[in-house]
Amino acid sequence: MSELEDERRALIDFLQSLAKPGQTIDNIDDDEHLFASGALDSLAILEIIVYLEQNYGIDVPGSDIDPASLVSIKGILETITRS
Amino acid sequence: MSAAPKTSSTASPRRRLILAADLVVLVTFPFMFLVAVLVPPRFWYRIASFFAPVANMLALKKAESRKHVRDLMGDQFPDTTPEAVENESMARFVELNLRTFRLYARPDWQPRLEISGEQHLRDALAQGRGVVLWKAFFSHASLLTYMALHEAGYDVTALSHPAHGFSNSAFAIRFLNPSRSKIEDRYLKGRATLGQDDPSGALLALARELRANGIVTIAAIAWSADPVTVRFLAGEIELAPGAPHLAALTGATLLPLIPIQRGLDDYVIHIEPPIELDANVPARERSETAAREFGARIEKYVRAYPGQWRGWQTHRRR
Repeated sequence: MSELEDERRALIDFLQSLAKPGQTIDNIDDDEHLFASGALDSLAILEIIVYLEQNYGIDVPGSDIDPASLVSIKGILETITRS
Repeated sequence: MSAAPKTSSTASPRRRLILAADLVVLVTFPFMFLVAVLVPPRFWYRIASFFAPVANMLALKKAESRKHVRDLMGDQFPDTTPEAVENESMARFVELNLRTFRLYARPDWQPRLEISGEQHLRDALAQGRGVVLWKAFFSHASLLTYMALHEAGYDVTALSHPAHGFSNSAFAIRFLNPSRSKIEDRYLKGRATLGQDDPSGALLALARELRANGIVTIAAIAWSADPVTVRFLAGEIELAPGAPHLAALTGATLLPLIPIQRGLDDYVIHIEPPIELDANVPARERSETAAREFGARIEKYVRAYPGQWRGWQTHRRR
């Protein structure tokens, strides 16, 4: 497995831990909106911010990261890759 | 006043274009504006009280709302009735709109504003991790609260909902609700408005404010799709878990805030001691514990000022 695939798997496992009951993150396209799709509750965005900080040292509140990049698996992975 | 990060709300297919209540508000706008400009403020509450029963008769989900009020009150309010509480609450809401209109036309109105418990806010700011003011849903939780904090020299960013003001219809969001928010914004550093399907911008804006040791306000109202239910008075209420969740994840101090009107043009903003958040328990359990504590803190104010609490009328605001 490549490093990117490892990160993607870890991210999906993390997002699954936040998902609403009955929602399966594996069934969601990488560029699908995680909140508009109903997979995640609104407060999950805060958990994602903490996840990026604790696992990748990305200071989201202290940076100019566009919030729109944190609402899809693809956007989050790109944020990780750029860090 | 600096520009704060703001998010825009987007129309959703689930959002109604217009509600009957919007038309009622629209029709009464000119009348309220005339009253606000021409009638001295000391008469406003009496005028609002006269029309409140009619407004309550037209309210949506009246039977459901009345049942909720009765369930909550139980036999714990022998000196009043659910009808009286609902009418006072509506009258306060009408009076608040008159205040807002007055500020449009004559921005010289200056009520007496006091912050009780301000030391809790100072202490929290001294810790340097930001403050979440968790506002109890009283009549003056927006305009008068922002005015008081602004007058005391605090820069505040408010978490807001597109429906703040009158309703959640597309028409109200475009034409009615801004009549409230534009005046409130005079006293705010910024307003972070939740998108119906995308909370990311608003919550990230709040996280950034807290990181900079800022002050954010969040109303304890169950907009959330996954609210916390707590025992309250003789029944139950639902509270959104966002405030304790945000505070816990950012390390900010969580302070309950209760705005009370003591008399004509006389308001006091009560800031309670911090609600402690245990970082070692799961988030949901932590939010439930905080919500129970919040309910216990505000109950004495609801008992003393039942007509100012707006949590009676609405079980869930979604």
